[in-house]
Amino acid sequence: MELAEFDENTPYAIETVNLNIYYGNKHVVKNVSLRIPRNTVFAIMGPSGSGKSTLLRSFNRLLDFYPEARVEGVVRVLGVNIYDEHVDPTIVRRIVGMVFQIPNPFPHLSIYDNVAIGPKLHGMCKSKQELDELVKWALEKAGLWDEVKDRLHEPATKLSGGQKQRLSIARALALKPKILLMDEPTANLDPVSTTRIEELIVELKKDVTIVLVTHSPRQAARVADYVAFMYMGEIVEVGTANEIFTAPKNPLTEKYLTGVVG
Amino acid sequence: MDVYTRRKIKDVVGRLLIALIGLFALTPLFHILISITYNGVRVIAATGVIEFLTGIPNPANPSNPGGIGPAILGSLVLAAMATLIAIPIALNTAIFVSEFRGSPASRFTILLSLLLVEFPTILVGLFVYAVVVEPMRRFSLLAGSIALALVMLPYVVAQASEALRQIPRDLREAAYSLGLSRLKTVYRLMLGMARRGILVGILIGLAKALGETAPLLFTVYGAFNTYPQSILDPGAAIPLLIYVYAQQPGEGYQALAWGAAFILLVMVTSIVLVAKKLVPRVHL
Repeated sequence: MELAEFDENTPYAIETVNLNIYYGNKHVVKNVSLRIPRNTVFAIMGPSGSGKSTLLRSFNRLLDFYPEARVEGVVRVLGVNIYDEHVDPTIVRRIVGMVFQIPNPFPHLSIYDNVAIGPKLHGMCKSKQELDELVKWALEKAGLWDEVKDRLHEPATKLSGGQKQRLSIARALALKPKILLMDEPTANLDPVSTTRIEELIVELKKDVTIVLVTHSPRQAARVADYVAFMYMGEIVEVGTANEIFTAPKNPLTEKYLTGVVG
Repeated sequence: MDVYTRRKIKDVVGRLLIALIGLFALTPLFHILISITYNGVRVIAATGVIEFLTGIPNPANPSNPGGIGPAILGSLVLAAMATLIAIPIALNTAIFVSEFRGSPASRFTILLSLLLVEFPTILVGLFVYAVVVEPMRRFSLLAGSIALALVMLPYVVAQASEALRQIPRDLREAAYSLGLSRLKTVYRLMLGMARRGILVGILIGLAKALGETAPLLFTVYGAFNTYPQSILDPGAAIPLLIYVYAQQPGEGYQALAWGAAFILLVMVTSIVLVAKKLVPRVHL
C-alpha cells in the first residue's frame, strides 16, 4: 500500500459508517456514523467512559494493539477504508497523527531526536540538513521553536508539562500527517499551557484536520468548528459548534452542557 | 522504677543486643576484606604494581614472585567476549519474555532463566567442555567465554526484561502512533528506554562471571605463564589462578594468590559499585 492512495481532496477527512467497537463482550461504541470535514476542528465531547477515546483510537488503527478490541463497520480516512485487508496500518498512522492525554515525549531522547525519530525511522529525509529543516519546521508549527532552539540536544524530560505536550505535537507533525487526533491533550495541563495548546489547535487546522476528544464543553466551544456529543457509546448529537451550544436539539446534550449529566 | 524507665532500659538493651548480633554476622565479611587487602597489598607493593599486573609468575622466588599478567589479560578477554556473546542472546530473550508476557512460552522462558541462575556452574563448564572443547580438541579462551556467557545470561535477561516491562504503555502507544511497527518500536525505541536496566544487568552478570572458577576449569585450562596469542589458545583467569596457586605449598604461589585475590576483589567491587550507582534500589 502507498501513501498516495489517500486522496487529500476528499471533502471528508474521516467518515465512519455503522461503526461498532467491542471490548470482549462490552459494546463500547455503538453504530457511529460520522463525517469529519477536512481542515476543521472536530470535537468529540462527552463524559468519561462514553467511548470517546476508543472511537478516536479506531481512526488510526491503534486499537489493533488492544487484543480485546473488535471493530466492525467502515472507517474511511481520506477516502480509504482503513480496515480493508490490503491496508498497512503503519501507513495509516503516518497520515493520522496522534497526541495523547499525558504528554509523552520519549524520555531517553533529546528534544531534537524526539521530533526527528519518526522521519528518521521512516527514511523521510535524504540528508541531515533536510532533517534539521523538518525538525525546525515541526517545532515552529507546534509553537515551541523559540523556547528550545538553543537547547535542542537537551533531554526532553527537562521541559515543562505544556512544553512536553507541544513537543508531542511537533513529533506528530514531523511526519506531515493530514489528520491529527488529540485525546484530551490539555487534561493534565495548567490553564496557561491549556490556552497555548488551544490557540495552537486553531492555528493548525490550516494544515491538518483535527479531531479533538474532550470532556470539557468549554474547550469544545473555544476551539471546535463541529461538535459531536457522545454518551454511553452513542453519538447523541452532531452539529456545528454554534448549533450545539446555542440550540441543542437533544435534551441529553443540553443536560450535559448545563452540568446535569456527566 | 517507673514504667517509662523500665521501657527505656529494655529498649537500650535490645538495641545493644541487635548491634552485637549484627557485628557478629559482619565479622567474617570484614575479616575477608581486611585479610585480602592486607596480604594482597603487601605482595603487590613488594613486587611493584606494574610488574604484578603485567609480569609472568615466578613463584620460585617468594620475595619477588613476579606478576599475574596472563591471568589478568585472560580475565579481561573472557569478560569482554562473554559480554559480547551474552548481550544479543539476552536482549532478544528479554524482548521475547516482555513482549509476549503471560504466554506459556514466555513463562517457560522465565522459568528456564531462573533455573539458570541457580544452575551449578561446574555443570555449565562440563556442558561447554562437551560441546566446544571436545569437538575442537583444545582448551581455549573462546570456550571459557561461552561458559561465562551462560553464567551471565540469566542476570541480563532478568534485569533487561524488568526494565522493558516497566516502560509505560503510553510511550509504546506514542511509538505506534508514529507509524512504527512493533519490531521497530521495540528495537529502535524501547531498548534505548531500558538501557539503564540493561546496563545494570550486564554489570551484575559481569561481576558474577569475573569471580567464577568452576566454568573455567574444563574450558580455558590455565596457562598462567604465557600470554595467549589468540582466542583459540588456552588461557588463564584470576579466579582460576587463585584456585590453583592457593593449593600449592610454595610461599611464592601463596603470595601470587593473595595478590590476585586483591585484584579480583577490586575489579568485582568496582563493577558492583557502578551498578549500584546506576540504580539506587538494585537487588544484588
